[in-house]
Amino acid sequence: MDTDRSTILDRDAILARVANESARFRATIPQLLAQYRGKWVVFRDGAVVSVHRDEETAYAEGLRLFGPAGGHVVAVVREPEPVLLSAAIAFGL
Amino acid sequence: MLIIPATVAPYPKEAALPGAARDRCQVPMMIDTGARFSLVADTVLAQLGVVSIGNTDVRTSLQSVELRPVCRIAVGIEGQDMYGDSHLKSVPLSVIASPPVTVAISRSIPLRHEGLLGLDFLQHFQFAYDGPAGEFRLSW
Repeated sequence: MDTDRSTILDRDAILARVANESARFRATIPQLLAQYRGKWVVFRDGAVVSVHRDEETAYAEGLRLFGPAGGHVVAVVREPEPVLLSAAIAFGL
Repeated sequence: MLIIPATVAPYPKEAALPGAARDRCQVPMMIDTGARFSLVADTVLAQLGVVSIGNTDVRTSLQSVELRPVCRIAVGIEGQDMYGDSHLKSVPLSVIASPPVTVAISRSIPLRHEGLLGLDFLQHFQFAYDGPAGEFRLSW
């Protein structure tokens, strides 16, 4: 996929690529924790591309490097934990 | 139950895929002080041409966990100053993409909203409830 020429028609393919990259990131977390715990990273092609102190700078860097169709992941390095959306949703209220 | 109009847009505008249907949307969103994170319907995100930056596990009930995309967008609400002039307060948020949700307060009164405004959004505002007046107030 030529990410420089991607358009809205490629959105589903890009989402799938991000989903795959996210799975690779989660699988790599145990190895990343020792060096990057608590840090925000840009992750693509199975590897950490850059490391940052906060989400905003990591996000900006990912966009600068790969553009909106880059298929990269911006995430914090920590053990995965399910997010409770809302007590109202969880309890069906 | 408090549903207010919010404006959502790509953040920054260059983050949108070319050819997106809209460059911003005004959508009804429910304020949920019990939600750590905000949600936006994926149909809205698709209109904006926004793609995800990862996935996260979301507990949707006591029994189930789902993997949902995370997208970074700008979410804002409009308010008036003391002179009556309108201002948009917009903040960047990493929101969870979700299917549209319809909440019914009775069979004949569905309240459709296209997202939740959680504490990640509300922390940028003063939020007050005047019980006797029956009013919520968001200010900044």
